[in-house]
Amino acid sequence: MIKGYWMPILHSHLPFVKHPEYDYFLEEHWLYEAMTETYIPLLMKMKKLELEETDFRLTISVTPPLAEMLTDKYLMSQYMKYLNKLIELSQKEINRLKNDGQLQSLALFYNKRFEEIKSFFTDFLDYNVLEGYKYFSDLGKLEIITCGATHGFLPLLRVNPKAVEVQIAVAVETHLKHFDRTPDGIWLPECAYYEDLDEILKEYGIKYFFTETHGLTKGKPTPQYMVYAPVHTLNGLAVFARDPESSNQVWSSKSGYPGNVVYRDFYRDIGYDLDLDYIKPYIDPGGNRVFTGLKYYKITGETEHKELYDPVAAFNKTKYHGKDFFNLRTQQIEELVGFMDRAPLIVSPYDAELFGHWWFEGPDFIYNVYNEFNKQDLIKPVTPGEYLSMYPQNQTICPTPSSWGEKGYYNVWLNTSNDWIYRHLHFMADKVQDLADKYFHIVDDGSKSYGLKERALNQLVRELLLAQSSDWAFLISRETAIEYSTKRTKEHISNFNALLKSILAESIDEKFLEMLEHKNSIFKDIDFRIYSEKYKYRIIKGK
Amino acid sequence: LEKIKQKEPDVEALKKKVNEKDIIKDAHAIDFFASVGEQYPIVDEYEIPASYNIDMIVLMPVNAEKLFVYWELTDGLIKKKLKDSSPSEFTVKVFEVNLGAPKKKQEKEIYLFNTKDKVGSNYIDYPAALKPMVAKIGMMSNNTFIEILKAKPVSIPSFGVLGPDDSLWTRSIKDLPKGQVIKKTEKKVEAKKEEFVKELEVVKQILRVRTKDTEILNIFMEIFEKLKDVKDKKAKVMDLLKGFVDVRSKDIELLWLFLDLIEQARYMKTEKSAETIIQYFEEVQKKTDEDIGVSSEIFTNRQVN
Repeated sequence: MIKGYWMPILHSHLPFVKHPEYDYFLEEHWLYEAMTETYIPLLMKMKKLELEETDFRLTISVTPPLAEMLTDKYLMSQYMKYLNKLIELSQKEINRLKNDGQLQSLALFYNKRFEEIKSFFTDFLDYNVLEGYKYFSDLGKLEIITCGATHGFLPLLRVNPKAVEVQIAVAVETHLKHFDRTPDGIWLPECAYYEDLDEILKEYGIKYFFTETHGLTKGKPTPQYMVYAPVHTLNGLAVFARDPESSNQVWSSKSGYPGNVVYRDFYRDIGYDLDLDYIKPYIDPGGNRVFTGLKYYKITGETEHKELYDPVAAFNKTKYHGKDFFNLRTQQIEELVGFMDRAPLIVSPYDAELFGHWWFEGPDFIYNVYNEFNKQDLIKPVTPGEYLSMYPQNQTICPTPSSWGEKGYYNVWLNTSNDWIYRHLHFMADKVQDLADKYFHIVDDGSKSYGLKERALNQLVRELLLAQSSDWAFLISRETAIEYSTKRTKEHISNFNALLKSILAESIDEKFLEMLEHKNSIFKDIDFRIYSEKYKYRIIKGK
Repeated sequence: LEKIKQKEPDVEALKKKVNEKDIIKDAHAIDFFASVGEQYPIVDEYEIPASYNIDMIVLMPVNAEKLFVYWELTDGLIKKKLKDSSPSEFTVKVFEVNLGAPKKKQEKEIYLFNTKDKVGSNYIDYPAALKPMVAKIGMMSNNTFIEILKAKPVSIPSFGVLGPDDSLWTRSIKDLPKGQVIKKTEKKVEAKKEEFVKELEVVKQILRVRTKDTEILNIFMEIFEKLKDVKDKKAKVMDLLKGFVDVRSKDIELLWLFLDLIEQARYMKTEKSAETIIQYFEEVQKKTDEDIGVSSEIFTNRQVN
């Protein structure tokens, strides 16, 4: 008899970063690191589970910018270079450490690991990570959901509701393009919800979404099952809310698993430790030290002295932590069962990249958690679609405005450090909407001026969408990568205004436009008309 | 799936289980990518406009206790709205909006500040910042506020304020029949009977909320009844209110009857299944003359909104 369900969700997202104008660009490496440490290792673990006939269920959000980057030819060719360099570095390390057995075994460990990742990427995934997600989705083990087009913070874009609508519409279209079907669910950017957002989601075929815990617990009326069952909004969308206990268990700074002394230390990297002349070919060509991904030490404790990392001991610890996580879920469900008249549901969403990138052993932990769940039949992992098929009838409430940012509302994305952004974003959305209405009916007469105008209008929408990314406001607020985030925001605002000026003056600089199309190439097939009310009509009427 | 126990959920016990104090917020992966390594030297410089030469005032909630307002005024608008085309100071006012209140009392001023800036911004502390709000910018002249520009209200629907009954349970739209993998966004999901039923429940719910509104008004009525004896001048106001509540009550009664009629009509045979209540009515309307002999005027005269 099933006593309860566990719903793990991994939110996979990185902002669109592409700099073909530079041979080496630090922020482009966010993607390469995430692929090598999170996306591919997670898929490898799923494949392992499949081969071992261990059943699993997982929900993964793949945000549109991430999907676009993972299928971008330029970025993927750069990734292969990155991966080959890692392999080269690990080989060089095997030679360098030939007189130090313990350290050399770590270099061998990395070399084998990078080779396996490369072979999985080129052979099984056919150079496309999304193929892996599709594979497990087709097996019914993985539910892929979407997110805002560029992870725009929707409550702060709603000053122009069309801006919110386009974030959703483009997300749905991009999901369709990459996964051959429209998404049933959405991970709202930053889990940020405001009243009536469900109305727009519904229009684009979204059937469920997630909120932070208080999005439901402070909803009206108070949900009878709190966060241990989904609810419906008045528009009929299902809402799942985060269970704080299971989140805490992983990410508590005091007692969370990743802080265990046997796990790999994130900060000790040979990019910083080794002689600059030796490591220079594998870091920023300008000589700035960066992480290489080869890290030889374990957390050890709160000490400067770090002991050597032992991958076998670390893997064994993930087994222990996997079992502990399962036991605590069992205990939690046993307690909840006493208060509920249906099987409780534990919803555990996490940022995907924390598994593997930050917590190196995270994918092994997930693998071992599934092994534990598979040993019994009382508590089962479940996807939102499966759960809603079993429990279609749910309480209807109005969720409260919320986000998963600090203090639970919009502070992180709107404060004195980043509030200057919104004046521009709102102006840009209003302007694009005007232009989309004005030029909605322009017809291709084969002339160059027509082609240029349409391309410029499309690029205008791309620049707006890229400027709307919540990551920039977040990073500015956190004072991390502040220069880059400010630059990116200003760059898109500036590009937008330059394009706007040229469109209004009927004098479009083709070279400038080409450069933007090449660099900020997200959503290749976007049609500026998506910002027009008439386009909405087209979608609904199927014209 | 078997149900574990057939009993009412223990909401209070569940509340205790959700220990929100321990929530780890802000564990954002992007932080870990961006916080390490030397910052890459940025050589590009981008100029952005300080203002756009437009007229705009925008109010946004920051959290449950704080609002943010920004504005931009052009000389053209100032000249058009004010006799004094170069005032030394503007006033920004923020109002809490209650659409359920009498028209003149729908906006309650909660905050004001003066500014010399035509382009500016400010934060406002207010303990109920997530309620419907609106901001205005203008000028004070002889203790009178002359409005120049008003922000779009940050609106919350009435059912969002009151919330539905805790007894309202609906079916998930996820629970629609299988096989609806949509190949193109342009194609709308084909509406099913379940959607009709769900829509009906939403209509019902809205009506319940409206009924609640009226119940609240009745309470006000009782208070005014008492005041009537104290001050004669209130009598007229009271009569007007009474009239308003009476009309509203009748209106709601009619709407409930109308809803009953929809539910009854649902069971009548129609040629094709309806996608929405309105479509269903159109179908019923076609059938009424021949099947039940009801004049179609009834339906055409009463549009379902």
